[in-house]
Amino acid sequence: MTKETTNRDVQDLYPESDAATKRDLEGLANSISQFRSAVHHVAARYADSTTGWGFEQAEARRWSAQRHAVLQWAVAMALCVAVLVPAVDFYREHAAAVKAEQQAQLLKQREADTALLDQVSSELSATVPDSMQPLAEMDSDYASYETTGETKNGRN
Amino acid sequence: MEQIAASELTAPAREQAVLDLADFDEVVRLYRPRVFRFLLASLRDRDVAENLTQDCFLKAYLGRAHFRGDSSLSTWLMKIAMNLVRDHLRSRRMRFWTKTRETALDPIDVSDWVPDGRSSPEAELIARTEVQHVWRAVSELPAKQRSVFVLRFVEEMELKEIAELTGMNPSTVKTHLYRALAAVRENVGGRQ
Repeated sequence: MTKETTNRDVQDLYPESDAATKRDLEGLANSISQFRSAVHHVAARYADSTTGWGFEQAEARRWSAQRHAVLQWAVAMALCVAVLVPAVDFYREHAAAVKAEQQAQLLKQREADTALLDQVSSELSATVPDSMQPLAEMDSDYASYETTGETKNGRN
Repeated sequence: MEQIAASELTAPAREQAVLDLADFDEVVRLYRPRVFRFLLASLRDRDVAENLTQDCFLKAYLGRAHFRGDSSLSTWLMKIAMNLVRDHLRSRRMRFWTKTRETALDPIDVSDWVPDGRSSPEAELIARTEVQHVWRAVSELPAKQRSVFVLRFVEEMELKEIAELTGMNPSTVKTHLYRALAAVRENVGGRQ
């Protein structure tokens, strides 16, 4: 592909262009043409300096590359495991500690509730003051009436 | 044989293409420079290009029984090379921890190889700068656009051949080429 061919190729992609754009495109085609020459030169230079192709050599290199890739993944996986296992352990320990603390708090709360209930029932079972005695008698009478009434109804 | 598209191959040419593989050393001698150049321009790394060139011919050698001669030998080899480029770029994305290689080509190194014959040192300097700009612009292109650009402007392949090689429609190839050229034009214009 000559410089002119590249230029034509570039111009083909921008068919409706004015004179200034055409000059700009010529410059671009020229740059691409020089780029091609440079790549060809570099590739030829490196290709000359490299060793020839051999089936055994190529296959050995492929095996080596595959082993290398497998080793890299194995190391990456080992690193992941090395990081994840302690992290999971830490999380479990932390979760267990939080749970134990919650249970201890719940137990403490229950103890406090029991103490409060005990206090309430002891206060309720205390002797009724004299001024409240008629009310207490009425309450006990009503309770005994209800009990006997229910028994009678049950029999009926 | 290099420039012949698959559809243009006659039956004897196909047979010849298949037979060519029998003398594999000759196949390597003929096509190695082209495959290496394509890989070097696509990946911009000498060692990787060299290794993938070896892989390309190894794959071709191992798969030579499957080559039916539907396309030219050159197209078949370039297709293998292109698949290797795609696989390499994919695996490089996966292996994000690998550092940039020391053998990666610098645009300044590339521009050192601009052929002489300029009228003046200034003209030579301008030419080198232009090559550096295009090299950088091409390296920034998306993989598909870069491949199409390299195949067209470095490997000098016809659009029809590129379409066959990449498995794209000729119109899609042209679109990629247009976009690549627009990006290169913008980058080169912006840097000048």
